[in-house]
Amino acid sequence: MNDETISQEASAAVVHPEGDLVAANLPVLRTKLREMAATGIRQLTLDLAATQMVDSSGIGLLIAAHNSLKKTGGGLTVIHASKDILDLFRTMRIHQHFNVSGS
Amino acid sequence: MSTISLDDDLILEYLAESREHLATIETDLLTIEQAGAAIDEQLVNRVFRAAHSIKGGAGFFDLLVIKQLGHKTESVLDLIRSGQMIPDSAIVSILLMAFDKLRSLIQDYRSSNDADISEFTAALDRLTEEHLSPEKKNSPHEILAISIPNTSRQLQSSAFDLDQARRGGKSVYVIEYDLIHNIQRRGKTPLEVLNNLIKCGDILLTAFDLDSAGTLDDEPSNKLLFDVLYATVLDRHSISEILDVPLEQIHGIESGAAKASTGPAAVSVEPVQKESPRASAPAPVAAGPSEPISKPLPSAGPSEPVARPAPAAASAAPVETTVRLNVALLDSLMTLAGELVLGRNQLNEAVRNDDQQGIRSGTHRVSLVTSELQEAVSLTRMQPVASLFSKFPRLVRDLANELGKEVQLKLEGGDVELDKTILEGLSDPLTHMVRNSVDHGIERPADRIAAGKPALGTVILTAKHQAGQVMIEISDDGKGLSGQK
Repeated sequence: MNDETISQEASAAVVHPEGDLVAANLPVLRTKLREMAATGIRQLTLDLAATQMVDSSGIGLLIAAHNSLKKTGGGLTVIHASKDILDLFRTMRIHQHFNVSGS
Repeated sequence: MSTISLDDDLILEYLAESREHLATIETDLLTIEQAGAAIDEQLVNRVFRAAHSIKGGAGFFDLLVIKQLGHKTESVLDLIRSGQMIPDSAIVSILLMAFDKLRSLIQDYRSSNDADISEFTAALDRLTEEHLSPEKKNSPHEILAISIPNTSRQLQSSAFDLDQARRGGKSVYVIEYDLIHNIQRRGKTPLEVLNNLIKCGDILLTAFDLDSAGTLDDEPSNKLLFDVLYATVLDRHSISEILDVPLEQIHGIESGAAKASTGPAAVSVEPVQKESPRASAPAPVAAGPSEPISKPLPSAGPSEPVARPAPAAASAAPVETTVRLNVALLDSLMTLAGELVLGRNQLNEAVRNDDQQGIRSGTHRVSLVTSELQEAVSLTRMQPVASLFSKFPRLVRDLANELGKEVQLKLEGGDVELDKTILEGLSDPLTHMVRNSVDHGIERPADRIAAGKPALGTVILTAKHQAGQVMIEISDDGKGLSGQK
């Protein structure tokens, strides 16, 4: 999880976490997202193409990111979520808060 | 999610039972259609119970898509049962399609969890929406606020959802989950927990307490609150035990809007004004209890459009792998098997003693019993012709609707029995002949009236015994064959 690739353009950026959004992997990603928000990124897209699993802390991080971005008038988008993750988000109705789309 | 890991015997039993339910549902639905507003409550109840038990079993076996479709058909049948929906041809068509889909899902149950049923659920949801009684019609839009005790949090649900859940004999609860403490720290994943919830009841609504997650600038939060509005037949203690949630995080909700319930775990419920800042947010709630998983996945494959009849579905029915047996026949088989054992022992004894007389009578006995046994076993393969005939009413109905004709099908001699293999072999040719009769024999209503016949055409399918053979006849009062052709 140390080498998320990031493409950045003005106030929007795409992050590609290289693995699951589970507790052990999160601190690095969290720091990265915090730095990005601090540098003025308002529209953040998380590309979950390489992610198989999201645990409770992972959901916590997504919501925290959503909360931070919303404060600056921006928002979070999740793309390329696997079927399981999509099912999870839909059942939890996370997709009411930020955009989620499948692979 | 799509792996089925339960004991094979159990699931096979469930599948056989479901197929049996589905076999009678079609006939029942057609009868319901004919009755129209004069509902035969018992009949509707029977179909309702069939849908209910298919759904219930599916939940037990993790067949979530089957469960969901069963649930939606059940809701529509509930509206018919309570007289809120008059079952016309269009409604029955949708129900028939839904049950066809259920049949194919059950047939291919291993991959059923990946099937796309959005067309069907959408059509059924539309029916539920359209046919609510006027006062109920408003209720989907009546949003109730459910306050969670000792917190400032509220869940907002439609009165309709609560009402619908309770009518199914369920109680409604708010379960407060802390995703970190109740799930993560117990080594579980949210998906597991949600699947467990879906198995034991219906998730009506879920809501995150977004603030509990903090922001990126905060330290990672050690709690993440997630409230679930949940309908189940279980009581609080069972929920706590089965779903592994502390009892104090489960709150029962009493029925009736604006009625604050009593007791330590009470939850107050009150109507919310439309102007309320959050009232516009839960709009999707009205779509139904398990709405989130009913959403079609963008990547899902093609599916049969619900609006079009699919007469082929009936003829594509798989060959049955189980048969029903009369208990008396089974008993006589047991008796004969017992006699065969006796005969064998008698014969063994006679051979050992070189008792020629005994050997002769023993051989005679075994030979007699063997013949009887053979005859009795061949009877087990005999099935009433009705099992073959039963698919034709639907076929004729769909075809007649498609061709704009009025056709009634009369079935006679359904109790005549035939060998199962012969019945199966007759299925396709008979289907073809019945289709021919409706398609080419019976004329359009206008032509029939012009020819001095009633607008309603008749096709008669008869089975009877004649000179030791079984005769199957098909006749219609259509125009017959043209002599010039």
